[in-house]
Amino acid sequence: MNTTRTALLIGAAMALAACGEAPQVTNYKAGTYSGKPDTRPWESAAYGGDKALWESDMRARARKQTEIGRMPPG
Amino acid sequence: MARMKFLCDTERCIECNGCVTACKNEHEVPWGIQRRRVVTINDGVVGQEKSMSVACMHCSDAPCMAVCPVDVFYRTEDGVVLHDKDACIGCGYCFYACPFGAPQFPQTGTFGQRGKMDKCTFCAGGPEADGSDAEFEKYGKNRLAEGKLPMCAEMCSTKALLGGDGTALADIFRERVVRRGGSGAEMIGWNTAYGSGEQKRQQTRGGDK
Repeated sequence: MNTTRTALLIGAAMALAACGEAPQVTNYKAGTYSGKPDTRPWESAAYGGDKALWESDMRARARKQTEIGRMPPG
Repeated sequence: MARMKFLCDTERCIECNGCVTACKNEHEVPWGIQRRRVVTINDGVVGQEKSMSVACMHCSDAPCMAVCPVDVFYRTEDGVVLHDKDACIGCGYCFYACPFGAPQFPQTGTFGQRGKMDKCTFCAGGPEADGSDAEFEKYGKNRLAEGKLPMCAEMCSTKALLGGDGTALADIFRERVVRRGGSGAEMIGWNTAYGSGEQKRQQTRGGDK
């Protein structure tokens, strides 16, 4: 009896499994970004939201790409 | 606010492909995908050979964004053009729209079908948690979130390829041009890209004889 009930329950669960399927077609809106939101680089663990520090680090890093001015004229 | 840009100084690029290698290594870019490449014009012509490192230029008015039918592209506050791979359908429109050939498509399927688009991210990752495994697997490392500039530019041995805030790059390039004694127009522009027309004139003269 128990075996039959279990089999029926499993059968019913399998038969109804597709009923709970979430819709997989994305609803697009033309001209609007449809992907996931992204965080900004200064919101990372390294900067903790300090935008000014991030920008100053970026400027310093960019200046390292030029050799002009590294050596005193002489 | 920073507006991130690349600038390649054709007077300095020696076609070493160090930028290409650095990019591939940093992001573990799969075989067949070239996020960055070096293009050489007038190859072998003495005195006229110029090389330039090309990748996504993170356009201010990006054509890829304009043509994408599912709108997976977005521009960050610092001017980097990124996309969400999870929503990409691999149609290839962005490849045809891009004037630099930046979008790349893996062709690992049985019938050579296109996979999801991959391109230079300016080492800014993508729409996943910063520094996560998911971000690295889909987009590569997020160096901007670590306070670093793109690997290709920082690795460039001759400092031909510059990356960073457009204002800072313009200052560096201006200093170089002043030292070279030029106005700047002769360093990068129409004649560098397409030639002055002298070769065509020579061909025409040769054909007349």
